[in-house]
Order: sequence, then structure tokens, then C-alpha cells
Amino acid sequence: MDDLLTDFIAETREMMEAIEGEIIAWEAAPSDSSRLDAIFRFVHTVKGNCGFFDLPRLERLSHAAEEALSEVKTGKRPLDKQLVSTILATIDCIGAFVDAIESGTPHPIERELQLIAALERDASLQLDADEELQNASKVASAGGSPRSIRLPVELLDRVMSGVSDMVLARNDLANRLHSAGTQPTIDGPFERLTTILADVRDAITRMRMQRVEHLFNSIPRMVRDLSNELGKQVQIEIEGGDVELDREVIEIIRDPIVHIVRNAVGHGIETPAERLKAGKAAPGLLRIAARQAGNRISIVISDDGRGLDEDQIAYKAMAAGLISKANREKMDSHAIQQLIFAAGLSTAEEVSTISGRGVGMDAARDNLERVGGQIEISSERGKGTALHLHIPLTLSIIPGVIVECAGQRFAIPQSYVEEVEFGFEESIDFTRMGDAKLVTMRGQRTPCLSLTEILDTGAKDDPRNQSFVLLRLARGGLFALAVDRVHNIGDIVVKPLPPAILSIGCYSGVALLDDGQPILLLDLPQIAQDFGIAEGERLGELGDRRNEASDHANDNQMAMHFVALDGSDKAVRLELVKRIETIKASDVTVSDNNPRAVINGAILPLAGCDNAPLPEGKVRLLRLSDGAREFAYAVSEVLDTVSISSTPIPVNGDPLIEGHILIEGRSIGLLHGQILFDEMGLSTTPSTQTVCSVPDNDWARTILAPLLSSQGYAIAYGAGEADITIAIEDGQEVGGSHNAPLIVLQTAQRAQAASDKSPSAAFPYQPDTMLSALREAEERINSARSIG
Amino acid sequence: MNTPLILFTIAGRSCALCAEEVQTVIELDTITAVPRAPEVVIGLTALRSQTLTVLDTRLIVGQSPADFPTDTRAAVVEVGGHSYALRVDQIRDVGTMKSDIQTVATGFGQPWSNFARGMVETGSGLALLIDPAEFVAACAHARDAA
Repeated sequence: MDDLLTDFIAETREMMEAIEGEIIAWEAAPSDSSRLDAIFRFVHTVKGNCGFFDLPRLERLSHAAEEALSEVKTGKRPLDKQLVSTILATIDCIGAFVDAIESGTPHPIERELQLIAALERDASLQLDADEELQNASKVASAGGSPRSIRLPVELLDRVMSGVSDMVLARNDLANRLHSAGTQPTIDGPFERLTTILADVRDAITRMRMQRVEHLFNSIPRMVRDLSNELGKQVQIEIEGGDVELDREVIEIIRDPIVHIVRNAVGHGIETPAERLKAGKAAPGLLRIAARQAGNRISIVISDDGRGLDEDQIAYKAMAAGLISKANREKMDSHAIQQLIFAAGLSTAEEVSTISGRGVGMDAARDNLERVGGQIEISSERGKGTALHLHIPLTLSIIPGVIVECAGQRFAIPQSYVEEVEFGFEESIDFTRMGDAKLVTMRGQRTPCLSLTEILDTGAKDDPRNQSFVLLRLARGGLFALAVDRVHNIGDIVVKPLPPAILSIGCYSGVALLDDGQPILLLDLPQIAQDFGIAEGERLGELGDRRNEASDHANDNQMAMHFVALDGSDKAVRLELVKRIETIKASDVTVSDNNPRAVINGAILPLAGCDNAPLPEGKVRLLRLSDGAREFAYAVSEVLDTVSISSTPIPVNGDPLIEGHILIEGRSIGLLHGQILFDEMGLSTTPSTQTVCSVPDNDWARTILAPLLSSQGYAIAYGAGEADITIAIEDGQEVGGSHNAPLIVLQTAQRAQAASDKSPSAAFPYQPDTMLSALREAEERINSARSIG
Repeated sequence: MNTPLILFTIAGRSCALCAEEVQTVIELDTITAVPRAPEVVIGLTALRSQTLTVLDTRLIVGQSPADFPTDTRAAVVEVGGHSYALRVDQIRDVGTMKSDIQTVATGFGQPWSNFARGMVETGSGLALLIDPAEFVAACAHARDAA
């Protein structure tokens, strides 16, 4: 075909796409002459080009449209719905005509004549606009794309896998070069190759991306046609059309989004009369906003319509046997709203052609979840409904967490990962209930699955040396996965699995690691389902038990039950336990008479290791504190927290035991906190710490604050209630409590011109001089207190 | 006639694949195990940026792997968009089809008849010509070694 003609076709399509939105906006505000101008320009350009290419039929049609529009412009002709529909149909007809030219098929002439007649106000040939529009919109969605080349995704994939091959070859070469030592003549160009390769890979990835606009552009038209059909008025706002998504993802979310929009117009937004009665503006508002957040896109589709009828949803769900009556009473409104995604629930009173066809909400959710997306609904009765869609940017490259189990590595899509706990940390509590395992993290108890058991590797788990990955499923289910190690997080290129492996049911894909080794991607929803982890299961919020325990210290005393190093069961009052720490055995010194442990850079006296050797590898410690003194107690295992139901029964013999308490029917020795603290020979530092107010800047935070806290002072940043205020002399007004002693530090330059500020002199910053000044100030405060 | 063939043995039987249906022949290096996979799936391996599913052909033909040792080479075939490395006893040679595809009156027996196109004369004796798609499909029925 003639190059010029190809250009004409592409240009016409480009223009059509551009004015699609203008037309709808113009209809909403017919007085907006700039929109009218844009449409006018379009038909005018088409007309001009047609003359050039000798396309008399298309020229006649565009001429008629131009005439009609120019009459509207000059006010000779009123703009009515009929005319808008006719002009829309004309534009579609132009599109269809262009398609016909491209494919070389004849275009039926009847439509044109009909349209020309309508444009020329021949009443006898008026269009049945709605029906025509239905047909026309189908044509419109089939054709029309901006000027660009079309490539089969297959070809892109081939280029992409070629680039992946290149990256692997590069890695291989890099290893060889590395082992061959430094070779400047080769290393330079190799570095360049690496950079170029990274760029190319990036570009190829982007080639698969498409603006979400391509999906959104068809929505205004659809909404307009639908609202006309239903006698509703809908104003539409679209935001974030420039967000880019993988082409395949766009295809997958197309149907769900169309369905949601149809639902919003069909059921959500009321008729103008209903809206006015409810005190709302007659036109309903439909908002569609897309945003990119990291490697996910969130699309929110909201309307200000009537909202969900929770009672009716619950009623239908009960009728459909989805929930029981007892369940219904326990469900909060959020939970009920999510029921609309359940299969077999349709709240529409009758299945209409508007939203009863095509995909249902359950299918919409399934579509999204298949690509690792999520959908949620929130609605307020009478105020409106919002659907939140969270979609991964691309299907093929996802961020994954690499975990290890039985010597083999596996990948988990990062989108599921809520939290990773390395090793057996103090924030985790692990319990076995029969064969089931439970972990408690931050006061929340979740079921725990072990990857070795899921994969049936036959290896034995040792919960103490495992890491836990807390996973949240798209449907809300939460569970922990115990793995041997958690390696790293990285982008992985996921490829499909052959049926023989897919049918196992615990893998969803395969990826290649940097070294070219395949790694399996775990199919978490399937695994969770196989192991009976239901939607939204949660074994109960426990809250922060430690706080509760101290709040009700008198009427509900709690103790921590543990196994001491010598193998005996012991307990300690929970309010004394500050933290549970796991440290390396090498950080513990027991060789002399003062056993001690180094925890986070602080030395703590250590107890509990008198009668037994320390375990190798890692040592678990209870950090006990009475508020003023602190020491560590080595244990071999922390079992559980229990409530002390009875008064401890005193025993003779061991002064360190306050008495015996009953735990699960056994008599367990309860450590005597006070005696222990005294035994450790710890001096009682004042229980009320002296608060130092320091300036709120980086220097104070990084240099001053650590020094002060290592000396036992509490820190307050900026001007606040404090016992002593430390300021930096920089010529500015110094804040702080007015009656607190003030220590002013000088920068070196100002040290020469020392100004005397009461009550303490300013001096250049030097740790020891500052600390002695602090101590002086503190003594003054203490003496003042004792006098007062 | 005269179609190039890859000749190999599976469980001691002489077999052939059309060379154009074989992507390549690889040396199996590291194989990533697939826990819980049926035994016929030995694991996954990588061919450049492609992942291959390594299949134990001895199990597909219903024989016990213990009876037939294999070397480290495998023929790579693509079926249904996925690539498979067929671990065979030994890849013997390349040859050409010297006869039409023939059948035998008694049939080739189960499970061979599911994936055998027939037998062909090659330069180095008769071989059973295998249909790669049917062969890979047959791995679904492969028995697990006792």
C-alpha cells in the first residue's frame, strides 16, 4: 500500500484516539467551545486528507459532520443529544472506513448515507442512536491505535529471552575473568558491555509496558452509552492514565475493570431523581484513578452512589449457603462487603444486560489473583462504593524472596511476604499443639507450616535454627512458613512450568538464579489451601501481653516458663523479662567469676550458667530488669507464658527460688527476682533517670545521644521537659525548660569568644569535660531535690 | 526416507527421534531437584536462559532405572511450549532413515505403542521411531520405581 495512505490511516487513528475523551467532555459541557473546536478540527482534517487521497465517500461524510459542527459553533443549530450521538457515530464510521481502506475490503455505503442524512437534519432518516452506538462502539474498540508498530508479544519474549541468555553468558564470562585476575585491557570493555546489557534489558522490559490509558480511554464512552440507556447522569473522572503496565496484565484486568464500571453505573449510581431526593447532585461521579506504588499498581474505582446493601448481601449469602446465621452475626461490615467476591452470589435483583453478563465479581477476583493481584471493596451505605485493585506491574519479573530448605533454594513472591524473622528471635514464640505448630509474632498467633514438611524432604526441623516468613494471602489468610534460611530479595524472571511439575500443586513457576540455576517458585495459595489455612484465619489477637501483664500485675500475675541450662524447668515473673535475646555463644564469657554477655554492644552480667555448660552456636538469654538493674539469664528453651494462679509455695534450700507454682499440673520453681538482682551484685542506679534535653539535629542524634545514654541519661530531643538542657552555642536562642540547668557546648570556632551563660559556662565539646559538667549539674539537682 | 535421525537407547532398546524434532543434545550438569515430583521427573536444569524438565525415559517405558545405567547426555525436545531433556541410556549416533516407517504384526507392546510411530531401518540397524509429544505425554502414566 501507498506509504502516504498508511500515514493517513495511522494519523486518523491517532487523532480519533485523542478526541475520544474530548467528545464526552464536550457533551457534558456543550458550551465549551475548545472541545468543539478539537472535534471540528478532526473532521476538517479528515475531510482535507480525503480530497488529497481521492476518497469521495469519506470526504462527503466528514464534510457533512463539519457542516453540522460549524452550524453548532455559530449558534445556528442547537446541540442536542441526538446530534452528539450522530457525531459520535460519524466518528466511529470514519474509523470503520479507515479500517476498511487498510484491509482493502469494501465499506457498506448505507451507514454513511444514513449518517449524512442525520447530520443534514433530514428527519425522515433519524438514527436509532442507541442501537447504532452499541454496534459502533464495538467497531471502535476493535480498531484504532496510536502511531506505532505492532509486534507480536511472542517476538518480544524471544528478544527478552535472548537478552536473558546474554546476561547469563555475561555472568559466566565475569566468573572466568574474575578467576583469571585483573586484566585492564579486557576489564574496561567488559564493564561497558555490562552497562549496555543492563540498559538493553531495562528497555526490553519496558517494551512490554503499555500506558493504562489504553484501557481507560474506552471507559468514558462506555459509561456514556450505558448511562444514556439507563437514564442516569454520570460524570467521569480519570486520573493516572500515564501509569504503565505490562501488556498482558492490561489484558487480564480489562474485563474486571469493565465489569466494575458497569456495576458502578448500573447498580451503584442512582437515577437523577433518587439522587436529588437523597440530597446529592443529580449527576453521579465515577472516579478511576491509577497509581504506581513500587512494583505494584493500584487502581481505585469509586462512585458516589448508593453503596452496598449489607443486609441484602448477607441475606443472599445465607440463602446461597455461603455463610451460616451464626457467622453472619460475627461478621463486621467489612467482612460482609467482601462477600460480593464469593462465587455464587449476585446481588442484582434481576440479571440485567447491564452487569449480569460477562464476568461476575468472583471471576473478576479470580482473574486478578491469577496474576498475583488483589481486590477489595469498601462501601458506605448511601455514600458510595470504592473498589481497590492491586496489580503487579508485570507478570514475568517479580520481586521474590529466596529461601532455603533442605539444602535447596526456593522463591516466594514478595507480595505475599509480610515479615521475615531471621533465626529464633526474641519476638517469636514457637509452640507445638499436637502435630500442629503455632508461632506468635508481636502478640499475634498464626499457624506455622514447615517447608520441609510441605515438600516432604524428610529432613528434620529444628525450630530454633529456622527462620520464619510471615505470609499473607490475597484473601487475607495469614500463616508462617518455617524455612532453614532466608537468603535475599531480588527480581526473578518467572517462567511457566510444564504440566508434570505444575500438577504437583506446590509450585507455580520456575526462575533462573544469577548463576543460571533453576529455582522453583512456591505456589502459596495452593499450599495454604492444601494445609487447610482458610481465608482470613487468625487465631486471635493477643495484644501485647507484656503490657497487659504489668497493668494487672496484682490480680493476674504472669510468669515465663522456660528450661534452664541444667535441664530443669523454671519460671520467672513476666514483668521482669525485658526481652528474649539470642546471641552467639562467642559473645558470652563464662571463664572467670563474672560471667557476662555482650548484647547489642552492651555488656550484661550473666546468670543461669553455673551448673551447666553453654550450648554451642547460639545462646538464648532472658534479659531481666527491675527497671533500674539489668542482667541476662541463660536458658536452653523458652516454653510459654503462664498465669500464676496460686500464691507461690515457699521452699527451703534454694534462696534464688521464691517458691513453687503450678504449671500444667507440675510444680515449677519461680525465680526470686529481688534476690537474683542482689546476688548479681548490681548497684541500684536511681530509678528515675535524669533527662537531658539535647538539640534536635544530626550531630546530637549520632554523637551526643549515644554518649549520654551510655552514661545512663535519658534523652529528650528539642525543647521539652528535661532535668538538664544541653545546647549548642551557635548564636541562636536556646530552648529547653527554663528552670533546668543549662550546659552550652561551643563549636571550636566560637570557643575563643566564650560567653558566660548561666548557670553553666559554655565550653568546647569534649566528652569528658561535658560529662563532668553534667554530673555537677545532676548533683545540684539531686541536692535541690533532697532539700525540697 | 532420508530424514536425519538421532539414535539412542532407552532401557536397552534402540530408539530414534527425528533430528529436526530435537533442539539439541546436552550434557546434563547440575540438576535441581523438584521435591514431591513424580519419580519420572528427575529435576530441572538450565540450557542458557531456558529451563528444561529432565525426564527419566526408563520410567516412561516402564522399566526400572536400576537395571539400565545412563550416561550424562540428554536429548532436548520441545512439547507444548515447554522444553524437556530426555535422559536416555546413551546417545549413540546420528543417522538417516533408510526405510519407510513400518509396524510389526504383534505391535510394540505397552507402553511403547503409545508413543512409537513405528520402526525404521537406519544405517546401524532397526530403531523405534518415537513421537516426542506422545512420549512426553506418556510420562503422566509412568510408574514410580518400587
